[in-house]
Amino acid sequence: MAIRQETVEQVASVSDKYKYGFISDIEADTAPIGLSEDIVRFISAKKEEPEWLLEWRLKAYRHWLTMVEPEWANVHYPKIDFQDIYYYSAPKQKEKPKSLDEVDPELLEVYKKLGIPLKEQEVLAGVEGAHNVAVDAVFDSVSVATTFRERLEKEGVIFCPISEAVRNHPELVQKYIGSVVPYTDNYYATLNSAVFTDGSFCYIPKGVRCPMELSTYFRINAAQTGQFERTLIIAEEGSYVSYLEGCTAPMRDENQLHAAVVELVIMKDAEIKYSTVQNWYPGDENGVGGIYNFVTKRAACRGENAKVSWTQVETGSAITWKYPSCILQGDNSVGEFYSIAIANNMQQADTGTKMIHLGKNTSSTIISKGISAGKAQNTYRGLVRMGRKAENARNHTVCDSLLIGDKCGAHTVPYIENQSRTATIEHEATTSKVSEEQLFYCQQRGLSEEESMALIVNGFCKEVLQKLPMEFAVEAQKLVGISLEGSVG
Amino acid sequence: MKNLTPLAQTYVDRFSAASGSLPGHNSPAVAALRKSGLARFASLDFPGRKVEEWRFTNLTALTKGIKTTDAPANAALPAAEFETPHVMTFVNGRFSEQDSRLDRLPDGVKLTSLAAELDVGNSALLGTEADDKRAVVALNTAFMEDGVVLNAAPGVTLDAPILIRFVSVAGTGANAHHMRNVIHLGEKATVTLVEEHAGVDGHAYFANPVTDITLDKGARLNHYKYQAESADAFHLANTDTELAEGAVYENFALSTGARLSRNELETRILGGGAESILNGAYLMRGTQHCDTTTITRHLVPENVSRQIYKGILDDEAQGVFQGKIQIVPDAQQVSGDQLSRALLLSDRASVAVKPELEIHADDVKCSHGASSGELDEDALFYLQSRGIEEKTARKMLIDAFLADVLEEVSNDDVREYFAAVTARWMDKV
Repeated sequence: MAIRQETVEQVASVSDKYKYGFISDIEADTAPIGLSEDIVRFISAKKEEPEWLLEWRLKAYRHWLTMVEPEWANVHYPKIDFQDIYYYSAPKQKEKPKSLDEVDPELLEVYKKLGIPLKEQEVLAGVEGAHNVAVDAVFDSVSVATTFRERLEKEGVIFCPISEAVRNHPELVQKYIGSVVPYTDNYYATLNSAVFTDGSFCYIPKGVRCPMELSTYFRINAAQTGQFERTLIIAEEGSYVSYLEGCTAPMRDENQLHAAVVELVIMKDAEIKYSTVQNWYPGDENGVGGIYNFVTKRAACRGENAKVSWTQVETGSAITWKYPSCILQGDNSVGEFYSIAIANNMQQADTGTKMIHLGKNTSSTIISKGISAGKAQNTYRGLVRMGRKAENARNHTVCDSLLIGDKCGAHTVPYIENQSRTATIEHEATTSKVSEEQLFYCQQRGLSEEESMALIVNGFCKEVLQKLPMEFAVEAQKLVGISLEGSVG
Repeated sequence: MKNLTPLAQTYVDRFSAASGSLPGHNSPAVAALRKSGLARFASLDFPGRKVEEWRFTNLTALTKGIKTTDAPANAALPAAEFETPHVMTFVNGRFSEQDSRLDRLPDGVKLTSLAAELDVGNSALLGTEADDKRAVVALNTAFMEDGVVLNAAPGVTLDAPILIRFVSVAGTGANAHHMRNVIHLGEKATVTLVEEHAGVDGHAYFANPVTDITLDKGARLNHYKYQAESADAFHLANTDTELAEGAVYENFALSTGARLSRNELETRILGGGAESILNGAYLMRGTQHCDTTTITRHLVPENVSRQIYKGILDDEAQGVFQGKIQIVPDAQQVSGDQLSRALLLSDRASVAVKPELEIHADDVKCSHGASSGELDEDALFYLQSRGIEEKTARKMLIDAFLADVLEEVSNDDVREYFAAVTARWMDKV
């Protein structure tokens, strides 16, 4: 069997370290440190927001003060000092750039280094014949550039920073924000509702198939800064969009908080495909530094035959705490969750999904692949709930865990609640290690132990990797190799 | 301090008066143990649904206080169906000599009642302090009245099963029984136990049995439990088992009774080559609630655990299965498998399942599977097309669903007994 070119490249890149760890010296406009009603007002004023949104933020903030930090997840970290975080940091610029050419060249340089094209004629590196991808680049607290906007506008697709959507399409934002993840939802989502600074907004009108992939690229740059972005995607009846999300951060020896909220609204016959490659800085091998990634993602299938698909590759972050969920309200609606979570060194990941079946004939699929190496702890935590009215609903879940090394942990905590006689739920989970035979076989074919491991792990993840859009699949495959670097021997 | 639930408060208030008449009240060691149990219980209270381990089982109906019973007083003792030469019976929480037959036990098997042991100050078998985080176990330590103390000498093999019956009948005033059983099997001893819990319908009571089992090297305990409490009873049972090298623990729990029941098993595997086999079936109807919670801890390398649980839920019955397999660091070469399946026969029935794996070693093989759903329509249709009427066809399918778990019962007599019990239950479907 010939070794495919990709595999060779992927194996070659195994020796790369975290290559997004550089710090860019970009002058920033920062709010005073700490959190108070004044900071919430400050952010709102900076964004020139209408009164209703400020009120909403303040309601969230006041509610947040009454809440306690959740401790149920299988992650351990020192208490976060919420007064020691900058809640707003924006790259300084004199005037709003009118076109991409006016964007601070240093910023463009950052995204170039990350391999994210902010020039419209370019396509993502390394993939020939790839489609164009519209990118919204979020740097610390603000969106710095959004590409291909005119092209999208022609189709009626709105793709812009959410702060801009608040100004230009207030009726849409007001109608949908908080409708999937209410401001009272949970500790971090409530915090986000109070202090969110930017994020992407996307509206696909009735019957439109979005002509290109939409993508948001998140970058944390400033020190001691939390990133609180909010993404809202609305797919009207019969529409389709594929959305990608990527994230990186510099290597710092402090922990930074990233608490995002993503809300998806899917109407009748519409479909959203949401893919994430999460590559925040994971900290060093001793667990110093890294991002705390506490994210609330939820999709509501409001109409019949609505479909949502979450695909995630989680390789970064010191701590991940994330459960992309699907509320399958409309009859015949479909929810999918494909996940690869890799935890190496001292990383901790507690991730999974929730499938709430409310409508008739709803179906959901969960494929979760967890890989633990080094001293990492990896937990799958998921819920499948069949409501009383979820007639003939179906769920199929597969959770596989792979252990590399004897100091790591792999845990599976599924919750399965069935109130519907005609519903069918199947759940299976396995945990095992890479077998000596497989390793031996690869090695006797001339691959080194590390290369063999990367190859086997990629095979283990294949089911999920195949669900990623092409542009991401290549990157994700490489990432799988890099994340496991140093875990063998 | 926050307020205790009404029932917990009753226990705390009653303790000093009651402890004077409980077994072993003359022994300072027993008194100290009871006291530590009460302190523990008072600090915990009955768990509410915010306690993660209890999120699917709501104890409010119990903790607001059980109504006194209006069942016919002194109703006849339900007869034992399982036949064996060795029978030990407890009626309303106390050993009943007239309903027991213990004279045929071979040498080396010592079977006494806990009350007798406590009265002579022998509390060593229970340790010195209640440091349990389970409230009902701490409550049991404070109020334990009686139970089985079984000791098998090394190498003894008991020919026939021992039947232990816990029977609750109305009329004595007591509506709670805190039974404490202590079972110890010496090296290579083999014993089969059949534990039966029964009550007269219409009698409301709270049964809170706790069983501590220690198996020495190479010992084997086949432990079968049939829970057929009264339809108004609460049954919260805890069984803790420790396995030494090469020991085998086989447990099968068949549950059909109680308004609300929870069977919690914690197995600690402390030796290589040991095997823990936990199986069970629960058949529930009406508004019954049945919770099975297992924790299997693999604390050393090279051992095995297996579990199969099946449930049938009719009417508005609720089933719960929570099963955790834990493998600690360096416990390599372990295999842990678990399967939970539930069959819903009615639109109002429900099931909640939480199988959990916590794994800290890499050279292990673990799996769990869970499924729930209704009877297979195609299979039903197939049988009907062969001329079998629907009712019979349904029964055949349910029978088949239960068959593979019943087959796990390695004792032939017990398997037949349990098959008869399930067949009788299914006649009413």
